[in-house]
Amino acid sequence: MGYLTAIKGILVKAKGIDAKLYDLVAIGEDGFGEVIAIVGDTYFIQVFTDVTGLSVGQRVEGLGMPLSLELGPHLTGHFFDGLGVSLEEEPFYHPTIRAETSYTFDFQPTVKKGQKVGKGAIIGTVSVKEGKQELSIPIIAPPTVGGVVEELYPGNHAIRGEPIAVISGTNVELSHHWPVRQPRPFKSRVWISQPLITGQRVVDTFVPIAKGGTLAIPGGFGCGKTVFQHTFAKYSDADKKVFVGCGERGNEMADFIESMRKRGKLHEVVVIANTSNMPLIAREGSIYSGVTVAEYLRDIGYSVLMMADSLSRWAEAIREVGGVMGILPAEEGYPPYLQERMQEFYSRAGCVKTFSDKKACLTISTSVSPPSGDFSEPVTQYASSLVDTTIFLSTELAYSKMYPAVDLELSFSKHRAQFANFWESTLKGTSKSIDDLLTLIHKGFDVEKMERIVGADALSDEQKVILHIFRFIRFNYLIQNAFDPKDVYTTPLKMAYIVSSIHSYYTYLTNMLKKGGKPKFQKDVEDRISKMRYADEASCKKLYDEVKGMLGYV
Amino acid sequence: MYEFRRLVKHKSVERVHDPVIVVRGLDANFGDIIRVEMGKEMRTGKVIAIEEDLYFVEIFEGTAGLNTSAIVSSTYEPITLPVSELMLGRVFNGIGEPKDDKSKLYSNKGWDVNGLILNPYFRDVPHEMIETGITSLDLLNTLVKGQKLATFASPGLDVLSLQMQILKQSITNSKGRFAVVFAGIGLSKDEEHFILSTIEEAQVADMSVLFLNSAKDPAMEALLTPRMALTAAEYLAHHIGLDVLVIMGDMLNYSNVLRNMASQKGELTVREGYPSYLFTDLASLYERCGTRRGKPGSITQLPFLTMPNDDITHPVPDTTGYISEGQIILTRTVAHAGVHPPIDILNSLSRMMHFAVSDKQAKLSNRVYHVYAEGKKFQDIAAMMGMDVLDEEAKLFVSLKEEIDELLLSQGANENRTLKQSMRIASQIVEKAPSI
Repeated sequence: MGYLTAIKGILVKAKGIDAKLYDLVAIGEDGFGEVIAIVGDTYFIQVFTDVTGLSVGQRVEGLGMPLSLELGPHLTGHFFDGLGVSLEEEPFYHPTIRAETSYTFDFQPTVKKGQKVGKGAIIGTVSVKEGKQELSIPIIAPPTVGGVVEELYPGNHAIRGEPIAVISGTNVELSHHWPVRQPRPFKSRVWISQPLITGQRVVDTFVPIAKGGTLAIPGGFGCGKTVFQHTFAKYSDADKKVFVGCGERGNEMADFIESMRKRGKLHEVVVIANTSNMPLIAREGSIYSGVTVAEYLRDIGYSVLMMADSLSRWAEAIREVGGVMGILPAEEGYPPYLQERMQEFYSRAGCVKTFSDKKACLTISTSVSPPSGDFSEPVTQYASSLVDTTIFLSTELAYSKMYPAVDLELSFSKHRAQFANFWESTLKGTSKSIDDLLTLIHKGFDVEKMERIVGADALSDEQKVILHIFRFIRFNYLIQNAFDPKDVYTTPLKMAYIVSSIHSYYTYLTNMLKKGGKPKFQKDVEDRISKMRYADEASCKKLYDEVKGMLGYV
Repeated sequence: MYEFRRLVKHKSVERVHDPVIVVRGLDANFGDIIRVEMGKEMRTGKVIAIEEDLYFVEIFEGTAGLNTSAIVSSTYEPITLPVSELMLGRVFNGIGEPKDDKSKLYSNKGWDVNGLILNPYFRDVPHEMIETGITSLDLLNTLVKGQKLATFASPGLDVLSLQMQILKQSITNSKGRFAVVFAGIGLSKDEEHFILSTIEEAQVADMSVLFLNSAKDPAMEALLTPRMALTAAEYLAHHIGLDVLVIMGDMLNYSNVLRNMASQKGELTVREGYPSYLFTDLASLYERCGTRRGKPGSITQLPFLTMPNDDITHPVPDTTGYISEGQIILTRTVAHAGVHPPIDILNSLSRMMHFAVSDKQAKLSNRVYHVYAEGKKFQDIAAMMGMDVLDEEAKLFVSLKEEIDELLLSQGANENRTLKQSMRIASQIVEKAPSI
């Protein structure tokens, strides 16, 4: 048996243990940690539990496996810590490793005895209740098990310890273990082709997120990063959402879970909470736990959105370990391998063909908390260079209460051009409208800066039109009230109506200029467009037709 | 524990640094409190690292005056605070020793000062206001039971009198079981005197617990002060079931002590010399707030800190902003405009407010904000180009903004306004404004 030789806060050293790199170890009476380096006969261990009270000479024992999660039908609708242990039992948190065996489900096979099934294939379903809803969750074999179904045991089973089937001599249970740092396998990669519809106008039209893509949301404090992520969790069209509260506020998590419960949508989420007062090292693990749960849900065929709030707190945990290990820091104290770790994490997103031949996408959304709101810091820089879509939030806009405070000058999506077809099929002509309005918005930023220097009177008529429409878009399209039930979500069709209406109005004004006239702003047109975001789809269409009519497009 | 323990006194101090000594072959656990005897003098320290048989002990009082002949022994316990209901009405120093003339507090319950971790699943969403009797807070930036709301102040403002006003008025206004725990960090003698006399005068001592760390106390004690206060608060809230408001400050003093200790220990520092774990350390304090679903008792935190050079992007206010659920800003500019307390409402925000206030209050508060922001905008224009450029409506907004400053946002250090009174004053002003 091994023993402790040194204790340095989050890091301890031990000798005489039998363990491999990244194996879990038990320390003292109820502590545990993870081997992060081995030098000669000394094992360096990062500790997930409290180190107060440990002393040298205490026992350390390898547990023979890396940090792993129990993946099964018990996950959705529930709340776990960063290491996958249920948080629904004790009001005061004490980190531990525990097998979750208390959940039971009624298993109904969808395969037959004697049938041949592939590795990781769907073999049946269980049903769960939320309120009055009855939901069916597929059950898959582990990705390592496939072959002939020799036995089937339908009926009620605990998730662990009771076989539901025997496949080629191997017992299969409702859940299986998977090491969190190891990406789960799938049949093949599939092209990303669909946007993730969030109902947030500025996002879906101007900086779209792809199903299977990656997103970073950097923003200083008070910019609304968390509200934004919560809105994605509540309204986006992914089937399941895995929310990882990494080093963030407990009260916000309580609010999130409460609002999902009220909406009867708890079954759509898995919450992994590692709030800022929970162990620092578990914060590092929580991100991997979250993405592993998300991969598992993808593997049973769901479209999944995994959200991490905030990736900066995860990076800080990595920095702390690097600091204690004496790793020569690169930028701002972060170890040189941070970017590589981030890349490995983001690369777990994507669209795949599962072992059951279903197309399923895993989208990763991360918030980033730059110190002093300074976007030049390493985590923001690495993240924005690695992801498909970066949505920068502006402190200035947030202070003027213009939410969501998306800074369109900096924000960018690699997928925007790709989704032209989506908008064309929603409403003909929308894709060009979006392109033109985005160009106008960028011109608008420049004209606004110029106006501050030379004054409004010195602007040309063309610039006045640009500035007018730019501001009209900002106040009637880009801002969106997350607390107004009518405004909080906009369907793509409504977005298309509004964008097309604004575009027609802009074209109308520029045509007027081309003919040598002075621009005449149309208050009745503007009134109608400004009502569209609060209207239902039918009334929105009516307003759209009226606007088109008034501008002579009938 | 596998070893047999004896109370051995060790003489093998090998190295004396500042503020750490290195002892060989001590019998102690990580985090234990250590006693150090040097002649007649007794000091206290804590085991901060163990490497084979070398024990690194951080000395709270500093190591000046120590040498290798010091005698060292362990108490075999981490830092705890003896807790009981008798804490109410008492005054302690930063490490929980009595500062009043009453006896030491005895209790068989010593609580770990690093606190309890309230499981987020069992948290209730904060939804009940604390009436501080101060309009800028109650009406416009409501303090909600279970939240943490940081206050950032320009250097040199009289923050202490605002803290005391909140302390006494929130106790007076409370209808239920309510107490205030105050943690003063780096106080001067005068400030301590002011605190004690205010509390006595207002007759609120029974429902308050004070932890007063003075500027001349050993540096390490400043780091323990908020932990002691929060531990007392946790006992009163989660064990006794009181609603507890914790007022702490100055958290800049706290952070600067943390910085000094980190640099002496040669730890990794990032922005402006603050240690890389500044966020984690501050969050470990500020997250100790909240209410439990279906249980009485709550902890609300109102930490105060100075914004060096009025700079909100300085690492300490910036880090605090990332943890706090909103912020209250106090500035010299507002103080110069004659508003007391000098709360800059346009830059202040309580993020939990919407859970706790009536629709009527929310609407009125928004209306005040709107009128005030318009007034401020036109006031700024007039400051550059003169009042003459403003039209009648703009002039009206300016005068209403001035009325808000004078009648609504200003109040005496002893003026305890009910929410009703605040709402009445506010309605009277904003109903004169043109409708939106």
